[in-house]
Amino acid sequence: MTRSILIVEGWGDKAFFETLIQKLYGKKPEELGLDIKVGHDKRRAKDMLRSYIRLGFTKVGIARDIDDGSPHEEESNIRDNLASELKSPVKIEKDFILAGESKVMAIPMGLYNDGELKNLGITRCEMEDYLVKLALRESPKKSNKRLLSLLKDMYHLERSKEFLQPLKALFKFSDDDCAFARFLIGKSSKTTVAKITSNISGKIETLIKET
Amino acid sequence: MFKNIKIANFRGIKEGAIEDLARINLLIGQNNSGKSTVLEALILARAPIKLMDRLERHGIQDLLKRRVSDRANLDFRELWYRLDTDNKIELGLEFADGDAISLKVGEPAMDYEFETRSRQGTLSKGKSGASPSTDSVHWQSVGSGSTVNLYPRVIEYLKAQALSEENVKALGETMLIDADYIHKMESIERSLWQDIKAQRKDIEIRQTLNETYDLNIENLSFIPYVSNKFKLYAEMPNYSVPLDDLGEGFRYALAILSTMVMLEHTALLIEELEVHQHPEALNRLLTAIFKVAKRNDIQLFITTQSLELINYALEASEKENLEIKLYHLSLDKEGTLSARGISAPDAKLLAEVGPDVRLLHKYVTA
Repeated sequence: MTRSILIVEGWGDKAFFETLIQKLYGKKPEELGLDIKVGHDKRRAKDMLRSYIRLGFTKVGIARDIDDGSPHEEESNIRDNLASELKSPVKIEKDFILAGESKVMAIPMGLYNDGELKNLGITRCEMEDYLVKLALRESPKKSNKRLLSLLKDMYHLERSKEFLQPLKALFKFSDDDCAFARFLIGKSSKTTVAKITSNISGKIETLIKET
Repeated sequence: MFKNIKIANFRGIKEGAIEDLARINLLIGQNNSGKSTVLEALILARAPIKLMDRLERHGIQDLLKRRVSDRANLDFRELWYRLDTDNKIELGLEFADGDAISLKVGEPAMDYEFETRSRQGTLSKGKSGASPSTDSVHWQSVGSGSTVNLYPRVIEYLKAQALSEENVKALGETMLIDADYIHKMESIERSLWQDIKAQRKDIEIRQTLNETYDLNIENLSFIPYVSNKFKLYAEMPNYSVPLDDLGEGFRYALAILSTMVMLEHTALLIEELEVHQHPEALNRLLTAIFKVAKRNDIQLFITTQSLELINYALEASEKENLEIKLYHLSLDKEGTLSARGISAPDAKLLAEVGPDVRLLHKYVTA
């Protein structure tokens, strides 16, 4: 089967997808024929997408923060950019944008119109949004109780969602800057992960399985 | 300079084309993807114009000998796709200036039918025969019935028909270098080094070899080793050593450079340039080769399996301001060749973020 490429913006996004896919399928992305490539910023990610299209890569996904827009808007943005770059209209076929020999899938990441999370001031990175939401759904596991209890005492926090802020801060001292993502997805159940990320996991599955 | 190449019914290629060629062309792809065949197609196209190359290698026989040198008899049918000699081998070459030549080669006597088209639209047709077993070539223009038997007149004849002098020379001087070339040191010394010495191009070769391999060769000289026989020695400050005794990588580099400095306005086909080379030496050698290619107006076709070579070539071409392009070749079961051109910016992006450009076939649907 032809291998797929998924372009993400940062190492955190990469870690998120790797951890997510491992959780959902029990395999690494590359074992499923998916290679995740980091663009580092939006502009470079766009350049990468254009290159992969020029080179005729059959299946390319691009994960993009939706910022203030909606996933639908993000998808139409990518389509418009492609049309402008290729100087010809691109076609839509189910989940894919057809450009040259390539089928491109836009994977909008993040939560939108989620006032509650925005109020927490933790929407800097859409990946983190997902992780926060994941963690909100899960009860703290026994192994974490001691740490959570300590944090509760230190910061006088009462609501479980507020634990995330200092917890995230603690992980910033880790050598592995993706440790927070790994920790949260690792502690969540497969069912919860699938449910919370259904809008992107479905697209990932289509990208991998499309022939 | 060649711009487009079309090949049909030759070796493992039923049909295929490589388009929009650059000054430096790196051919990559899996084993049995047609890389060597593309190089050989250019030599077969050269044969009716100049059958023997500068090393006096036979343009047709050598295509078979270079693959299997110990067969008792050469089977020329092996040049045809699946040995099917009923379908003629077809080669089409377009030059950067718009001239074009197409050739059809038939059995049993390697009879060539050719058609040339100039950039002004002049069309001419003719026939020739390049004997596979001797060094004889004859030409005949269709219609006039006149036959050109005198081999040196072939170039004049072609120029008069349609092709420009530059293009006739470019095709006629095209040479193929493969790993077996390092075993041809005597031919290289005999055929090239008299002129190299006469024009003092040995100085540039010596300097390049010293820089590439961290050596201190003071001179490259012919020294007698048996009665009336001479061979090249590298003279170091305190001793001399015959080139035959030096390493394979050094000798491959020497062979390539000796050939390149004597070529101008043509194409050089190099197979697996990375063979025997340490990465550092390969990097320096590539830079030297690109410099000569630029100065002598040589178009390069290099087959490779080496990611290091690809990356060094991208750097060196940028440094020398030479256009470079990668071609990822693949052959399907029906013998259809597909050549996916990869520009320098795209190749650099792949080098930086991946995937490995050599594995492109895993990401594209044939």
